[in-house]
Amino acid sequence: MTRVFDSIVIGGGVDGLVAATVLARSGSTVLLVEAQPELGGTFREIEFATGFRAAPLAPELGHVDPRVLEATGAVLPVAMTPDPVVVSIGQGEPLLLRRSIAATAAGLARHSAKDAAAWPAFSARMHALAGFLAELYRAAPIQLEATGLDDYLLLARLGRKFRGLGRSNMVELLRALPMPLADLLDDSLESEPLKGMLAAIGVADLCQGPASGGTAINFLHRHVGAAPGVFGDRLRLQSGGGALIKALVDRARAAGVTIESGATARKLQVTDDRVTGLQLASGEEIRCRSVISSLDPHASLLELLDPVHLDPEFIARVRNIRYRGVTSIVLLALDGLPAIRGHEAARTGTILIAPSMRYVERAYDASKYGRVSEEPVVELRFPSVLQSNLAPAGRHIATLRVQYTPYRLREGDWDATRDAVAERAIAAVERHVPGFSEHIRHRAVLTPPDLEARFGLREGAVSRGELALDQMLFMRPVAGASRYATPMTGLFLCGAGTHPGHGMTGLSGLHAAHAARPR
Amino acid sequence: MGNQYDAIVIGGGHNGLVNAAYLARAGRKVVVLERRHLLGGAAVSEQIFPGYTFSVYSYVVSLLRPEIIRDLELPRHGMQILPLESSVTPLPDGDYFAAWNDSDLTRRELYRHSAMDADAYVEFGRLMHHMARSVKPFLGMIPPDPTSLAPGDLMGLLKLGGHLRSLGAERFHALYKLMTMSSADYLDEWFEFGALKATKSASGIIGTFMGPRSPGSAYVLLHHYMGEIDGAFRAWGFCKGGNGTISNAIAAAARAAGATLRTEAAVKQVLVRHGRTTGVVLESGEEFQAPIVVSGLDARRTYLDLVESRELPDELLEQVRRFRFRGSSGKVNLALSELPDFTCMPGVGAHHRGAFSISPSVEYLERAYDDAKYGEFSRRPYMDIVFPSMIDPDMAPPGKHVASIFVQYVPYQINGGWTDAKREAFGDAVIDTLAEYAPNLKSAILHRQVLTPADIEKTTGLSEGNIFQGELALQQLFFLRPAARWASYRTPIRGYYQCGSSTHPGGGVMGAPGRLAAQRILADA
Repeated sequence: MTRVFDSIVIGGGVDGLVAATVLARSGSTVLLVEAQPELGGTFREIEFATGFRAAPLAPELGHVDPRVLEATGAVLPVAMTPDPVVVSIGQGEPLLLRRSIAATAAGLARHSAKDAAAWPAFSARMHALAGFLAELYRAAPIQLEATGLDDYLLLARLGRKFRGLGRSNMVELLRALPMPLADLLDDSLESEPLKGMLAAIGVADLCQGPASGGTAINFLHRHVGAAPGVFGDRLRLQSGGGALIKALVDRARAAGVTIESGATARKLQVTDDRVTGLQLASGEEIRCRSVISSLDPHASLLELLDPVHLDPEFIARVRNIRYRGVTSIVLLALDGLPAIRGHEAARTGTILIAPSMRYVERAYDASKYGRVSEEPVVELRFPSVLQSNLAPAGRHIATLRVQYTPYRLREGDWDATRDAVAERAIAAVERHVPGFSEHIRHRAVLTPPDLEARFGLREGAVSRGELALDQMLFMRPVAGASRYATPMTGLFLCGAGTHPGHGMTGLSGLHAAHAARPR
Repeated sequence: MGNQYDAIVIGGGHNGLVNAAYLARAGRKVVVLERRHLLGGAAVSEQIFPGYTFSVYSYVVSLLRPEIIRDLELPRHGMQILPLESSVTPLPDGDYFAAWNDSDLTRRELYRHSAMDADAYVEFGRLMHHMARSVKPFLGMIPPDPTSLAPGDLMGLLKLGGHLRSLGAERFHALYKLMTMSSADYLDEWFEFGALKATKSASGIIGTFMGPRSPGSAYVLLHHYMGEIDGAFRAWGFCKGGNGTISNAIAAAARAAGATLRTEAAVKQVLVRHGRTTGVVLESGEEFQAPIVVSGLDARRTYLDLVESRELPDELLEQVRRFRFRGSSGKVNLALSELPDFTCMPGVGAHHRGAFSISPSVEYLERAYDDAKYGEFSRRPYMDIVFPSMIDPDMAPPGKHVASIFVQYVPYQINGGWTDAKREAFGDAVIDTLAEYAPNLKSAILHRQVLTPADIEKTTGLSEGNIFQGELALQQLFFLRPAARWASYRTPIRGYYQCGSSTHPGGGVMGAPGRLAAQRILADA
């Protein structure tokens, strides 16, 4: 007998779970299908060596808008990232980014008195600008062809928020949007270690360097939802991605969502130009009125859907989405923790190797020519310090986020390059944390093609579509589908590939559910 | 008193001259004060070597606003634009890519390289044409201040919003992409042939400190598509007698309207009393009085050099201090005993009447940028080469030729600072690179002049040698050019205005800032 649901949600990551829960809570019957045996999407943990587990793509939670929690009724097991948030090493004294603006400034004074003095104003300004982005992210993006009352209300709200920035920050915001991050930092700061640290945070997972235009907005995007002066990690999961997913799955089940993992969506069924069902890889056909896909836009629109249903112009737009993954993850099983030049506390935060803006820029240059950075930007974390169940007693894990490692290599293939990525990343750490490599007992490397294969990230892009100005807001994922509805009636999109993008945990699921809710 | 005027224009560059011409035509008594011995600023023709005349700095014309040509009757004053008929990009494998003014010819040429691109080319041209038309209203308006609630600004913003909506979603999105993307990515959506993409990208990086892969570079591509000669979009031309003739024609129009033009009159300071200007004083000590003073110089000179900082609000000073110049282009001018013989197109022919572009691939340009990013001149730079003596034989003695080579990237801030030796090394890199495509070049050189951004700054006064009086980057355009709240040609000092390329809509031999500033001044009066 054919099963029938009001809605089917594809993908059991955070956005999919949020969308399913919100729809079910509004009275729809909802089926959620996840291709992997386990739910969790990019928050999934994997066992990379016997007894050693890691969540390679979820070192932190990103920004959780309170509305997501309100709409799902979820209480998330999160904690603020411990202090210091980021420790940047590599040039002179380690640079500590702390929760307290004053404490950061005090440390900065050792590098530059000018920067120490500028830090509070810089922090406040960035916070104000990111606050406007947060406002933009709270709703589906505004459209040029806005006509409805809702649109005008949204426009009025944004207008008020914009004016609320005050004249000087209004200018700063408009100026910052298309700007290179390097220029934004140069405007206020002078010390290279500080600028290197902030630049690396800003261009994380982006196939651009800090000197590229439009990167200032990436820095602001990464700051949305964080406290003033706290750049980089926002929220740390108290007991890992598993607990987060469990909390969301519980809420979904409580709302009545039917959840099936190991169920791969194969093809959307279309009758009379609207979605009428979904065929699974098992061959089962399930009827529904709407499908909300959290897969990447390319997979949702051109693979699940037969492109014959779409206008060629629209197809061209989807094909033109740039993904360009540049990040590799190296997972290490350690027999103990290395000393971080006397800063034991650094081991709870992120240790960053990006000693100068030029270092980050040079690392980027390699990716322009299809090569892996000789001296990569590395973000090192020891998640087992806070979450002991990731490693056997007395042992630890380290995760290294390595940038830049382009998905498409000009020479050689990834199987031949995988080890080089690990070795260069470990060497970069070893240069500044002597003795680090002696603790390594086992390693696993997830290159962009590995991330694609294991996490379904197209081209290994953690962003699921580069967060560039022309792929944000009303252009995300493409013009004509930015409000979660697509040209195919009954097909909706959510996930990091849609507005507001990577790091805005659950928001697209919430917005998509609102768009898909029967009226 | 002989030095009493209605308006003083500082700087006899083309924008200053346009401004003066419009003010004079409106009946104002105007004087233009130029520091150098000749008018034109960066649009000058000079005999650098006996018998050889060069458009020393700017060398082609395309963006000059047609309304200015009409209003000032420039052809009557001696300006004659001859079309540049082609652009040839020699390729390392001995082949070439040639683009012609006739788009059918270009299409046929493209078929040799990529049938797909040949088909896309027509469609692309059509879109660019529409895009250029879409932004035209912006070019012709005084930018409104989006942070202001003043009725004039609100009206301007509403008008803009209305204009954008009238484009319709499709065109608006296309325009938005063009404004925000990198030229490399933008062109990747259209074409596959490397030399085509590179040659087009090149126009997107001129005068900026960006590579073709940097978002924001696609916009400049459009800027260079907006050329309009005799109503035909995107045609580039060459002015008979060099670009100095354009300046001279504008100067003649200004003079005919009654303006006084003074050379070797370097302004030292703008005089300000009680927040309003009263005139200027020259280096020589001579004073000029006028209730209106218009600076055609760039924002740094206008605000930081010509007036006392205490006359200006901190907020403006801060914005001007961080307004980015970063000159990145240089010029090599050659006197030649014979024309370069390009391996890809042997012999002397019609192709010498067009431009040659050394831009074989996007990667080539990107690598050229990498050198500059770290403070060196490009070892293998991008070049745009024309032979003005082929179009106007008067530029060189009979049988001889001149070549004008625009070069990028060559940073103003070079590691270790500019020295004579470094300048010559840069010149050698240019000649060596070009000689790879035209082996007879070296033996044909009779004289060469090498201009780095530092040299351009020294002679023309353009800060950091930026040919646009400040980078043409999105964050420095429209209501942010040169500074928010002060993009309307006014300054905080009453009676003191700005009319150079540091203001909207920016550089290129366009004249629009000079004209819009005149409109503002006349409306304020």
